[in-house]
Amino acid sequence: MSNNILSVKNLTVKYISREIGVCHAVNDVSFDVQKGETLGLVGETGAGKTTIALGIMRILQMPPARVVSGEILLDDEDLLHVPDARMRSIRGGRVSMIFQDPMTALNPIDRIGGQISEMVRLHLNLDKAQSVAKAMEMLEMVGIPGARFDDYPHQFSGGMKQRVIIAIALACKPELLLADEPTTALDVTIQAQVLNMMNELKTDLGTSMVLITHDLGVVAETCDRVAVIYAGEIVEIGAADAVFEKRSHPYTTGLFNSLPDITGGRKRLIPIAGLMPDPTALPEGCKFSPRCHLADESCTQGPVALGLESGTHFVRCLKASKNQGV
Amino acid sequence: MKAPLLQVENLKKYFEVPGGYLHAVDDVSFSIDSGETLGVVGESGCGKSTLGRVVLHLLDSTDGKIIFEGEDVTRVNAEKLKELRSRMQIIFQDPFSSLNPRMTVYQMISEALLISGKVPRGEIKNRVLDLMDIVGLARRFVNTYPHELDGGRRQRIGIARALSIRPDFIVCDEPVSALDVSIQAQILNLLIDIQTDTGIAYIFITHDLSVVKHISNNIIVMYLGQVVEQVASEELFTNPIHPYTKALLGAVPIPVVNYNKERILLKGELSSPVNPKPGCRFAPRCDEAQEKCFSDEPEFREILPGHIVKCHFAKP
Repeated sequence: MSNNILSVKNLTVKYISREIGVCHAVNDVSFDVQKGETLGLVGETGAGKTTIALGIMRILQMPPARVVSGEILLDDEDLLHVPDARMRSIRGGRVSMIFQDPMTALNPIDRIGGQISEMVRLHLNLDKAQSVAKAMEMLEMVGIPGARFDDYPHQFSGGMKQRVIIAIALACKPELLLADEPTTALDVTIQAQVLNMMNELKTDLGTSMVLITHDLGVVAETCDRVAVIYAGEIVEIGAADAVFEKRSHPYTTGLFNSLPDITGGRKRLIPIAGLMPDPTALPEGCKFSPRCHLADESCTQGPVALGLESGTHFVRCLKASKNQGV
Repeated sequence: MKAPLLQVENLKKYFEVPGGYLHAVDDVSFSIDSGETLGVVGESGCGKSTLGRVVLHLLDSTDGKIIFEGEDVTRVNAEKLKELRSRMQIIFQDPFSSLNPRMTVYQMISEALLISGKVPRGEIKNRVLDLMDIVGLARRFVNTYPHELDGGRRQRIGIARALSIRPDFIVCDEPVSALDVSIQAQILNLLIDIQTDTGIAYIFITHDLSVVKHISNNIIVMYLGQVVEQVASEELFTNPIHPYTKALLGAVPIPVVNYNKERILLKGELSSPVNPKPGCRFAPRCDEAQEKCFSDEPEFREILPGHIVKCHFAKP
């Protein structure tokens, strides 16, 4: 029996519009999430991280988005093909999502408590009194006094709002949580509180998680495994310690070299040359080749497959063995 | 001894709000020499951006002195202000909203040159192209509009604008926060190179501790409008003394798996900067706070040579 809660297979998503043409947002992405683990999806703006999460939740705006191919298996059930009504009960029930911006993810004219209890009433079939009690319990769980049940979102700070959103997302004890940059909008001391709380809740409830972030530090603190995304492709995937130590793909190496080091002495940063490719006109072959110092003609001659680096660590690069990881 | 390029003494900026005064910047002092970078670090709402704007006179100060090359500039007339403006510049955080969408790159970079009247009209075009070379913006973009360019290139326009009239110092207000890390590294290297070449001084305002460590000579840590710790950059990271600084450093996620570090989780959140209570402003969130901290405001004390801390219980 498979130990995977989620299995994404060959997912390809494009945005198609008359003005822009075809934007290749997610290209043949496959990954598994095991029960109880946290998988990090890390990459820069426009890499396709959020599109993957929205695709899993089936809340991509279509059109312009179109899921061209692939399967999204939640316990062997393909989410791309379940009826809408069934999807509505899965969404927020077995799978839920935390959005990046806590300032806009809550309804400004509804009381906080009402927004949580609405969720549990819909999914858990509780009556009004029970759902209020449950919402109260969730608020306390994320460290907000129950007395604030009747407050409106504007009465909360950013960190508190993100706690409310986490309370809503966890209210129905989802098996899988998709967290899209959950702490990016928060200050570091508040981020530390929220990450700490998410780690504890995950352990208590046994939730599996896909954490989307651009922050390699957040990945190191929270993820068991990590997938590095570039131009809609997974370029490196494996256990977080293996990927962070070996940095086999030149793009992964470049990300680390771009970061100022807070633990050591000051040395000149080595940025990645050039810019992200235009997703409407991706380069042939390896998408990173135009920016890569190791690339030669072989890199542009056809699609590059994910190759085994060691154990469960895979890299999409023909030159990975030459990459010294510096 | 040579006087510093810029010296700020007991600077205050209060905003009048319903119910009292918001103490955005409260009794801040520091000095900067040519060729140096002063990092200003703190979380949102600590007053760091207001500080930058007050120093540049984009906002009037409530009290205190700003001494630029020996002259107090807090109450100057319009003519003098214009001259000062040509020597102090600012780079804004958001390269998307800080550029005029209806002006071309050429118009934006040449604007200050035209207004200052320092450069003869015939030479402006060459000066603009030189500036584009300096900031690494290809000359072919000279007639493009901001919407045609990505965030990194737009931030380069902001830097070229700030450099155009050869200022003596620039306030950089979160200049890399809106950028991805690979682009952020390009811009940080550029700012460092420009400083090495021209001896310009920076006030570098940021919430990102690894960035501030990378670029600064000295750092001030702000909390609710006040400086709580002030010291050379290296020392701040090897020997933080104020409890807030310790918590702030401990909260930064380090990109190393299983990195062992001391983490102090702060309780609660920033209290209100409107009519702040007496005593230490950090006391409500501080693990080490005692009765005295809630009644008496701590003095600045030099705990180690050049290491100034605002805490009753600071020890070397």
